[in-house]
Amino acid sequence: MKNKKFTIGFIISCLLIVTVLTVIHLSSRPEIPPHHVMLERGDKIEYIDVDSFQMLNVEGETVNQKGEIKKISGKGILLRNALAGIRSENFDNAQVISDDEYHASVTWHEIYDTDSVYLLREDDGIRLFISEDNDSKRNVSNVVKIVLTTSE
Amino acid sequence: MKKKKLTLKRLIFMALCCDIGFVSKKLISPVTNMITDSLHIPGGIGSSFSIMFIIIGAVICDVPGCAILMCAVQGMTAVIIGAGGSMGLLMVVGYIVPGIVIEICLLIFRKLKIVSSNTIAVTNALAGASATVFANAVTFGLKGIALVLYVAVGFTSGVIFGYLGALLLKRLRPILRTDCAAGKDS
Repeated sequence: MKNKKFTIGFIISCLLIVTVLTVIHLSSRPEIPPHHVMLERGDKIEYIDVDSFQMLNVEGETVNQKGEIKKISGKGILLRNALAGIRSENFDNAQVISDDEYHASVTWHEIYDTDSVYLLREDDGIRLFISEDNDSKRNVSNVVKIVLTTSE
Repeated sequence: MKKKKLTLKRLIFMALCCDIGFVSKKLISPVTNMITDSLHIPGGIGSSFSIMFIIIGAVICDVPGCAILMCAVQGMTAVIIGAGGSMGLLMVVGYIVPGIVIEICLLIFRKLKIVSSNTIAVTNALAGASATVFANAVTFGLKGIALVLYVAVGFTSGVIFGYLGALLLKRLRPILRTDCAAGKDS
């Protein structure tokens, strides 16, 4: 009986800790409007409205770990164009972060020297799509944030 | 003290636990994703559920190193069938890390002769938390409160599934004790 009480008490205390942490975590997250991406560079924070750009028809393929080719098509914008309006060409890497904190890195060279890095507009959010990429792990869905970093 | 061997029956039971753990993780992922998506964290619940079966196998078979062996098999299976996720080849290590934690915990609890539902729950919780810490170090790179919440979810789900595992063990032991746990191949 004593053991059962201890068990229930232990589970409840763990759940309480998770609840408190959840409240703190969710309240500390910035509110990002739908189809917007938060752009962070150092202390500066700006928002990109993906819908305010002219959409392009995007078609391409990615290769997953098994070597399977996946065709992707949809409407989207070049990441280069999204960043152009805010004059932020002075960086080395763009870390594209999803809603659940999963992230992928895109280099300056990939963004500005190729036409392959897109932000696709999907019904339920924004997806990072890198055409002809052999690393499908970089197909980040539900993109909410881009952090520009320099290697210095 | 008689040294326990990896008999055929034990190996079959371990393989069964491996498979159930591996497949069940995929089966419950739609439900666990609903929870973790609402918390805005990248997972942590499915691993604890999968680890529960590894602990059941390790406690029943009671052979040193069997948890690591089961986890390694799971990891290699994941890589071979291309379910390595975002970790790639490191997925094998990602599976082995909780196995090492299980081995250490069970070794300590067996030495102290306190293997009970509480210690099984703690073992599952620590193994679940270690899996989240490793996944974070390799893939997610969470910081601050997001990381603490991610690990706490892994730990708490580990506690809950640990107790569930202990309940399953209570029912399985009388059935398996005579053959598998005793290591008889007949």
